[in-house]
Amino acid sequence: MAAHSRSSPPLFPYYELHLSLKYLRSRFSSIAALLSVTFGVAVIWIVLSIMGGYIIVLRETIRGQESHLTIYGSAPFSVAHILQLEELIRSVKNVRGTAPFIETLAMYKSGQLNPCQLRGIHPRRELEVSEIGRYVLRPEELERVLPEIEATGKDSGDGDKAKARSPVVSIDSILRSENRKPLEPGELERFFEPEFTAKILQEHNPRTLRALGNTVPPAVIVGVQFLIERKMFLGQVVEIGTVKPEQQGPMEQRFAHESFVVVGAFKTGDYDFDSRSIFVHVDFLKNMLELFDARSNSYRYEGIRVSVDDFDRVNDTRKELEAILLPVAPWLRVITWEDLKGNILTAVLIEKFVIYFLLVLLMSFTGCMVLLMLLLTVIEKTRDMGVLLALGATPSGVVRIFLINGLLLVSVGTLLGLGIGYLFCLYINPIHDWIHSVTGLRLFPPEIYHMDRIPISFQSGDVLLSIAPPLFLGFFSSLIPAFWASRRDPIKAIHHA
Amino acid sequence: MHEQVIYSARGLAKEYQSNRIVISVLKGIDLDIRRGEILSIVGHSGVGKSTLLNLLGLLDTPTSGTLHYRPRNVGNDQVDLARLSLKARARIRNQEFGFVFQFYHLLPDLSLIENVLLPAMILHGRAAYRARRKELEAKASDLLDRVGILARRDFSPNQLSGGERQRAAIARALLNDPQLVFCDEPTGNLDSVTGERIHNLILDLQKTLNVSFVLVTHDERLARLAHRRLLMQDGVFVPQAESIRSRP
Repeated sequence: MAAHSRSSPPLFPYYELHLSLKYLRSRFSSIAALLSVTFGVAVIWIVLSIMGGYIIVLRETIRGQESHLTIYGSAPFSVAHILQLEELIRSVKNVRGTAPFIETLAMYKSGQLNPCQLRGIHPRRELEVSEIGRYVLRPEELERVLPEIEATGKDSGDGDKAKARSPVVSIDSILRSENRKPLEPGELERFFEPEFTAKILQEHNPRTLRALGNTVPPAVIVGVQFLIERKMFLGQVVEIGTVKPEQQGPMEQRFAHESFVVVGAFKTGDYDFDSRSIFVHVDFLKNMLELFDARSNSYRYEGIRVSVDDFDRVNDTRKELEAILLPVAPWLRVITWEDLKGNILTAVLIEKFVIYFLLVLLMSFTGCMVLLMLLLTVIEKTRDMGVLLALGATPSGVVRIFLINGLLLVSVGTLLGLGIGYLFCLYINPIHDWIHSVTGLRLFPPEIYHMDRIPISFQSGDVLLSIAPPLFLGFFSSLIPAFWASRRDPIKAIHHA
Repeated sequence: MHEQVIYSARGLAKEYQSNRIVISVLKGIDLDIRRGEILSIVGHSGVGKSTLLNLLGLLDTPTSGTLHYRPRNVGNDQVDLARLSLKARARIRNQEFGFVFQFYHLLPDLSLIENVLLPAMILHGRAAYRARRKELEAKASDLLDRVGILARRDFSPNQLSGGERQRAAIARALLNDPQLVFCDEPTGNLDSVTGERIHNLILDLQKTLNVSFVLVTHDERLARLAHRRLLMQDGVFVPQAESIRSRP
């Protein structure tokens, strides 16, 4: 037999991967460790996707309630010369729209006195600065869900039935419908026209309309929770009172109250906002609160909402606004919506990472599985290692057999986990519906989360967060048995029973 | 008789320490192995035969002494194996030596032909192995044919008898064309009829492949087949026990 030429050892000999695959396929413990990695990755991926989706929906909800930027005075109702200020603000690049607003705490009487937040908006211009057009139900949309809302109220004594027929799902499916367009400026303005108020009274409260004669009270749009919780009904004439600011004299003389007609409803998804906020035309509210300032010969407002074209440049725009406004009105403050509500988002974000950290701790169990599986393999294959060393394998080659083994296991498990997690996320709502139909249990109650669907958001950063722990743990779990195997005495290994 | 010495050991000693007690297993062994010869080392259990085989096969390191080896294709230059690195020793084991163990030591996760191909899998990288796969498989099949178990090439080792496993182990030892094959009790786990077949196989392979065999054995019949027979007692060779005979 001819002798072949002697060569230097290859960098990656064939036997390393070949034996790794053989060992991986022949052991049940490998499958158990693989499944453990798969489910670990899938759980992290699913949780991060849901939390990511929840943050996005929450952000959208908050952005719907707040404008990109808000300009406040140093004290309540201290922003005067509104027209000049708005002109200055609109001269800044990136500013899309402005709208003055008034907000005040108030009490409404519907059976008994209850607190509320009276929000004076300019219906045409408010649409330029907030997402209110997405949340106010059109009259025909409200008519569609009204029977359900009324039925919910009647069944309020029977909790299960009430939940089963909750109108929240129907309202959300209308507002979140892909085909639904936000309200046009004219549509929102129409809610505050007397003719529309009269029409609502005619349809829902004709007896009161007859009693009122030709004069109809101003209109209000209320949060949908007022209707759901039977605190108000469509067409109801409700008395709302508040305190006029900066009036001298006893409290009873400062009290202002008016009758309003409920003409519409909105739903932002924020329970607190939807159960306490009432929209009224800003022009009516400023007169009700007697905000005319004789010294400046103009009305005073709570502030001005500002929207921008490019939200990524909102901080630059704030600086530009401060540069242009503060020289003429140093008492003004320019605040972004994240300054106002950023804490909520930060809290949810922190919660996301706390859950992630806990899941990574659980994932260390998977690392232990890989470690145990490889240690068992090393013990079982000790004699094989001795034979390999005798046949010319190097200790580093033996290390690589088990490293490849562990890395293959976690890589395949991670890929499977990402795939299963992705599929689960895609079908999470049908799965949730199925669990609900079989058990009657809602794992994601819309009454609590104010979302009819479980929100999902796939983000590339979450993929990295999902795959990093198993790969890291898998690698280090493989190192220990791999080095242990390589340091075994080949002679003892060969004679290992 | 072949006179060219390919491997020589001088003053080879091995001591083990256990609880401050030094046990001297080999006490200055001098040994020459010639090209193409069958050398048998016999002796009672515990005299140091397997320890000597492990030292010669570079599976263990001597406490003192030298090991000089003359690889094929490098002229008359000798390599001092005791001074080689771990990797270089592994390379010599893979490309110059073959090993046959008493308990065969075939890998149960591999088929028979894969077991025979194992030294080539260690020798070659993935690309080189794939490129030469057919050639290597043909060579492994040829070796399996020579040892008479080609029909079992795709069997698992667990499906074979002891004799068949030892034949496969011999084929594995020969795959990388070694100059030297170290056999540690190759018939120690076989019945007499199967052992006889293994004797004949070793003789046949030595003749046709011109490979040197070093046999450590209790089996007097196998020892008698060797060109030289060395008797070990208490870690040294007994000089008068060496017998030299012509090629059988």
